[in-house]
Amino acid sequence: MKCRKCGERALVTLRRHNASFCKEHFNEFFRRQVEKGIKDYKMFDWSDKIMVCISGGKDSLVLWYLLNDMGFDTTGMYINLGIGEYSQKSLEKVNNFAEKHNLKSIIVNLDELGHPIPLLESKVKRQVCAICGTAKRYYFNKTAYEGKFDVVATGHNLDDETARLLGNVLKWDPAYLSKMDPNLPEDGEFIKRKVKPLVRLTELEVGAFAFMNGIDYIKDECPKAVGATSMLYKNALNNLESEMPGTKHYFYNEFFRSAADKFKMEEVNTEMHTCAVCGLESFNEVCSFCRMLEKLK
Amino acid sequence: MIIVNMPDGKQIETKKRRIKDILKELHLNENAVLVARGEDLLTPDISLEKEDEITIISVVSGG
Repeated sequence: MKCRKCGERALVTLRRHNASFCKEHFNEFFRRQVEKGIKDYKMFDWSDKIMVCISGGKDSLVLWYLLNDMGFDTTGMYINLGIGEYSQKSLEKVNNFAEKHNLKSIIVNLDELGHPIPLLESKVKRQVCAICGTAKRYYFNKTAYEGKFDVVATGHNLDDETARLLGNVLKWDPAYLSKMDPNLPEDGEFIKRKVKPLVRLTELEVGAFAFMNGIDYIKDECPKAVGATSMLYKNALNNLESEMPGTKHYFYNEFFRSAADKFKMEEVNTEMHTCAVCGLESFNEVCSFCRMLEKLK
Repeated sequence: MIIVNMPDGKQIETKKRRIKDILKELHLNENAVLVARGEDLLTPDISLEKEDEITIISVVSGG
């Protein structure tokens, strides 16, 4: 196959766009999609201080690389979850990447804080991915608040978001469906705006960008995520995409065009509290993360 | 024979030449993997030379 722009041998084929690209023109396409996502969803501008949540995987490192390359003010934020060799390897990737590109980073270490994920998993009777999600959200919010960041960016891509949408549609869960927007506004003093600039790009496209641009990421899957239902949804969507290219893009975009308004939650003036344990803003007298930590006592 | 390095580190051999046919034989979805020969990515239409070695990279993550 030939590159649509220059006729050179293509390195990647995007059936949903009926196009193939060489490295130079794929990079151009990729960057344009990120710019369009940021602009269309009014995610942030040049004056914003952006905290990029980094896992060491392809999506977050590609996002960090690109936002920095575009000239945005970024700081990477990595949480060492204390999941054995997986966490050690991912931390190494993050440190090497930050050093190579001369980027600012903040590392939160759950081992040092005394509550690594495996310990929480052994004490808290919830699914480990839910425990991990609560811990990550807490430290993302806390770090963004304390660091006076304007916006928190994550590397969620089109596959992540369509898989989540499919899961939420299958359950017809209005609370979750109301939070599908790739630009979620700040909530109170503590919770900063959350954005997903890679939302117009598939997992394959992000992987191809990482490969072509020498971005060294952790390829191992989190050992705790084995059997996650999101994988089931992604496989189903990939099978549909093979037969009907463009399905994911259409499913996601049509949700916002035709259905998202129906799931808008009415604004409720929830009384905010100060968590009695950690002192940060909370919906309850003790925040959900501190309630979880109480199980360790 | 073509040598295929799988995402789990295993190595297999195949007589198929075209990337699309190799993926089909391995029951891999072309939206879920990249195929590389050295530093080069390969599109599904590419036909390999015998003795070529390729690497399959999974791009699907569960997080």
